[in-house]
Amino acid sequence: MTTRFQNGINNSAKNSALELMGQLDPTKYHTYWDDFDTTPIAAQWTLTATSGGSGTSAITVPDADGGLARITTAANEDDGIYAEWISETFKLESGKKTWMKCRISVGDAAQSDWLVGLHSTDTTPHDATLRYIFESVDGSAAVYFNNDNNTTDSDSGTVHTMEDDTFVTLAAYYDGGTTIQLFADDVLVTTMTSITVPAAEMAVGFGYINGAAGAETADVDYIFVAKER
Amino acid sequence: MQTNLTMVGDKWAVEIIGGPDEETLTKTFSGREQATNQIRLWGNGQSEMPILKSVKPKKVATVKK
Repeated sequence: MTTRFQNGINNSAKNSALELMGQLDPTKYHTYWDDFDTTPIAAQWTLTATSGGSGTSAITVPDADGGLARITTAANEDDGIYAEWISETFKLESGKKTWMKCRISVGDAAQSDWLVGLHSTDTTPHDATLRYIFESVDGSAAVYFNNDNNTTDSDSGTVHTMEDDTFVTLAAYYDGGTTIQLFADDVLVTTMTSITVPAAEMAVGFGYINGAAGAETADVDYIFVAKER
Repeated sequence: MQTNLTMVGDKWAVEIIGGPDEETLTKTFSGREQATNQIRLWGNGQSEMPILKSVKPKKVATVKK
């Protein structure tokens, strides 16, 4: 049974400007949401492609329900592409909760380097100064979470073990203190404790690089980040 | 299991944090690359993760009657 609130729902403070608005106040959170119905373009993203082998590493949005950012790599090992939002627009802060969620599938679970998350702008984002990312590195299908505040570089235990061409939903919840809860397919897997999150702005980023010869594809279905203001 | 990599003096320290009932273990390395390689080997199972000691339960003070 559907509950109807025909006059709307409001979460604004009494006597505030939005008090009588019949919808929830969207300004309470800084939100990034991309369902990838449109191709990430250079005006909005810094795209760093490596194409040593035949073919060209690129991101496209194919005909597929739900919208996908499809990374196609050229055919050499270490070919692939990273995309980072052109500006660093998220700073994690004590006292402000932050949620991050993405859905991804990779062509070769073990022979690949890939990441999704927030990092300081860097064309080699696995080495960015500040990182708050899910990542997997060549030689292992394990996905873990990496928080690097430029003083301490912390890795979680394995959050998920990837399989070739199989989607997983990954999510991280920062409690505004020193804890990051990590989820795979909406199940809490592990919790990082005593964490100091990066103290400067970071950009949304994702990318996939071959760990072996042969063209591959990786699909990023969506990326969501929301932080309390 | 969580690892924290930090520079301590001129060395790189890797803290290995287990569950709440396990003691944190710190291993030091002369270089960052050596430390990150070891973390990677632990992560993909090519090297056995150190076994963490169990935290000894604190003695509960007994009240004399």
